[in-house]
Amino acid sequence: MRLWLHLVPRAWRESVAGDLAEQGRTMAPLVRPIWVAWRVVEIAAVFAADRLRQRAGVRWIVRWPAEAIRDAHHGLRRWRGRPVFALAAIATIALSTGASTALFSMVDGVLLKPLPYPHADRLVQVNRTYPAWRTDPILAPSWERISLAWPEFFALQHARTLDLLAVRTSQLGLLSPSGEAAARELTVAVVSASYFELFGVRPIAGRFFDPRDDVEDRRVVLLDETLWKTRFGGDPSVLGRPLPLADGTRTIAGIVPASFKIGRWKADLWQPLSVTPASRRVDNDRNLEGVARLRDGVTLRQAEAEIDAMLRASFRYRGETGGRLTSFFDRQVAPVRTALLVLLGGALLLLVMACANVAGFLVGDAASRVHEMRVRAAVGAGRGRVVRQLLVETALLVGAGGVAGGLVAMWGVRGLVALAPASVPRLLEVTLDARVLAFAIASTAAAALLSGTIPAFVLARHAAASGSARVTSSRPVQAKLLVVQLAAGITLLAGAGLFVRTLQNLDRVDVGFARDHLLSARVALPQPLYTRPAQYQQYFERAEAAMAALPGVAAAAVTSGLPFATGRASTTIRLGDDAPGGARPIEAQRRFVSPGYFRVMELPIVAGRGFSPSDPIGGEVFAVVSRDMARRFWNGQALGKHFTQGPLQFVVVGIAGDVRDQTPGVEPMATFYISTIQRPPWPNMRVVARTSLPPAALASEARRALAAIDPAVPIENVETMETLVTTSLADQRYRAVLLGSLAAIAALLAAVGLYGAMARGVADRRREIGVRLALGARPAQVTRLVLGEAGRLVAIGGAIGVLGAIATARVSRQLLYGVGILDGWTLAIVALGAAVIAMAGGYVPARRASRLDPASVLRAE
Amino acid sequence: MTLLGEVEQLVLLAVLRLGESGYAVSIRDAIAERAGVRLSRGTVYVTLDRLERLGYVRSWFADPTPERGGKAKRYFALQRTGLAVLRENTRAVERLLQGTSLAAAKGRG
Repeated sequence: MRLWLHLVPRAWRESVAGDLAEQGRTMAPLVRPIWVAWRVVEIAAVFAADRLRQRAGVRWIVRWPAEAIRDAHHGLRRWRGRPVFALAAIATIALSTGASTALFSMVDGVLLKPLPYPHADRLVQVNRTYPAWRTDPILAPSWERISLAWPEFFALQHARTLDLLAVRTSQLGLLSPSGEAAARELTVAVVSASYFELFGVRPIAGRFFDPRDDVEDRRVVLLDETLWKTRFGGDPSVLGRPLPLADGTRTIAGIVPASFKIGRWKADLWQPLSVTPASRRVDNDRNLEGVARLRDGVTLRQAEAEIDAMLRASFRYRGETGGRLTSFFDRQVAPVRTALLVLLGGALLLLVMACANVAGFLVGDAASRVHEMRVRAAVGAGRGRVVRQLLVETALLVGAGGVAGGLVAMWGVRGLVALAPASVPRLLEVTLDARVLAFAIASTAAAALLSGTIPAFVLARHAAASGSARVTSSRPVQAKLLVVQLAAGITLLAGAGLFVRTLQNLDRVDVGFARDHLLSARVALPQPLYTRPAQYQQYFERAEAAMAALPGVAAAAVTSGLPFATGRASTTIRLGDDAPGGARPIEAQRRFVSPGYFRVMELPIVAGRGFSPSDPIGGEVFAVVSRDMARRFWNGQALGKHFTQGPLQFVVVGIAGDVRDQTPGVEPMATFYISTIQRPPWPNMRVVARTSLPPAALASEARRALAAIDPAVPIENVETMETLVTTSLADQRYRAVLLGSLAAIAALLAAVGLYGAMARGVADRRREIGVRLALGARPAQVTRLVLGEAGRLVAIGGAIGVLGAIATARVSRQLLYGVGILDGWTLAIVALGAAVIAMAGGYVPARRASRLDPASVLRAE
Repeated sequence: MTLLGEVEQLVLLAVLRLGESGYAVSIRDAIAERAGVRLSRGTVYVTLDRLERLGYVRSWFADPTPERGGKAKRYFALQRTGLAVLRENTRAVERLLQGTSLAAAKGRG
């Protein structure tokens, strides 16, 4: 009670307390304090209201809400009488607030929310640097992104600035066929014991690894929850049972929750590092991804300095090396930040446009309300009162639009997430939560203010004007609102045009080979069954033959790396003395291919020859180099030149065309091809076939044919090259589709806004047009007059819009490809779009104007 | 002449009736019993506050009692100005009523 009493003015506290104590004497002891507290609050409220009522300046707090409710009733009646207008305004606001909210929820979930791990703001990615790569044009972007090797992991554990360090790498595992289920390839994560602690993950059952597992091989494995449910039916007794894997049997020690994902990455099985003394001698794997948590109070720079110094001191093979730390959060979201912000910006622009649209209609509507407003002014409503009334009426419309926009946002978010390309991380965290709701409410409120303020003041000005003055709808205000809409619309159109053109350009890039009618499958020969190169050779010869034998397949081949499917794999070779610039080590990409590869891919051999099945084994190994490699290292004269790799001697026998192998926008890399006749293939290869029928139709046949060779070998990723290329452009497509949709809505709004303004303009100028026609003007001239006015507004708005588009192009330049700001095609699209808007909006009113009967118009005046 | 509000008039009349022993609770109860009007506690306090500020009533604190949780009681009594205002206001109503009979009068629909 003591607390609540403070709400009562001090002079009254004691007597109120006493009076209530006296009256509450007879109550049950449990009820009494509640009753007393309730009464105190009640009394305090009356005191507060009384105080408010006394202060004249604050009286409006009480008065305004009452008036607002009255205005709301009035407004409802008004809009019910004009359903078309009201519904159009609601739809306009709903679409734009919905789009903005949906995009904001994406931005919030992906860019703004902290990562869902403990102390996520202190998580950093740990990489090695190799400064010597900075001068190599292909390797330069990766010079400070090199993964760690296990000796570095153990060394860095002593770092003072790091709280915890963990590493992870992936490899392929195999689940043997059982019953009807075919052999399946699994993603196996090899992690240090600290990994789960770093990300705050706890086992669903059993246990995770401990530090002993980092250095001992205790033959343990963890199952992913999804695999546990699908393969083992979620049976808790699998713990402790043996799991036969490629490299031997392991005991299942625990279950990892299915919700644990880093970005889009997930694993089916988890194994410990197990860097035993025996494996230390053999293993020099450099593909451990390092993640660490900074010690509390340590900055990124401080920790980076320590790591850099530690690596620099201890590991110097191949030259100078160091360390680099980057914020983990940045690594996850930086790639998509610009694109998402551009999309959100587009949606907000659409919202501004929608507000200008609604405002324009309300202003145009003002003429019909002047009489009503003048009556109100006559009975004493001040200007402020009129403005408040109109704001309330507008708020009703916009509020309804906002609520409908909530529905649009719900569906919108679902669609955005479903269609999102693989590069967008954290999609699970994109939800409609409190923050998104706050944004929705705030944007709706802003829309109401934006839409309502201008019309309200315009109307108040009319109302204040003296009695019989003729009212013309405020043409200058309407024109300005229209220009705002047109400018926003043109910006969106041009911006969308840039992204659509980018997608087109990328799709049309010559990838260096014929990408239609190609089917491929990935085969990873499992360890215990296939250990010798001769086995690999034999399997892949059979695989190639099996593919080629399929009806509808013209030819087949195998390759260690398929464009658009396999990542880049650079290796070091040593140029011979016959290279201009002398003998030296260089980095290039290496691919093992069967002789038929160039024919299957329709990859041209521009000089020398390809491979043949009768190429000799032993002696010099034949190499076919890419045109880029020939130019870069041998000035184009590569035939007959030599290079070595370890004990192997290579001679260049042919030059092949360049291939774009990552995404169409990425330049080709220096590549050399080795024949699988001369050097055995790897256990991990892609079988590729040129088909005469549509390749998708042959997918299941191909899978069956390959699986028939050895059922224990999993056949994965059976897909067509078209699919692979299309998927590689998923990002650009997503952006183009979203921006295009926004632009389409904007164009519609602009046309409708222009139409409304033009129609009202014609209605207002009936007399003038009537006079013109009576004086002998031809209808065509009237049409030209109206259209000319429309065109002029579109031109002004368009000019501003083009400026906006230029700004957009600058901001998003890293996302665009092959389009400059003054791109001819984009400008043409914009000009065409503007002309269409002008015609669509202005045509009907123009025609109607030209058809006016001057006699009836003049008679009516 | 200063006009009294209806609530103010009721409260002043109750203070008059209760003499020197009127306090918030008894004033409120008296109004409820005799006049049949149920005022909220807050209204009574606020009105007493206003009347005291206007000088129509005065208040003082009596000793605290255990029944009141150790809190003192605040009593109210009518001041001369309060009595005068009350007389004026009730007389005004009486003079308007003179000659009419509320019992016999008929209202318009």
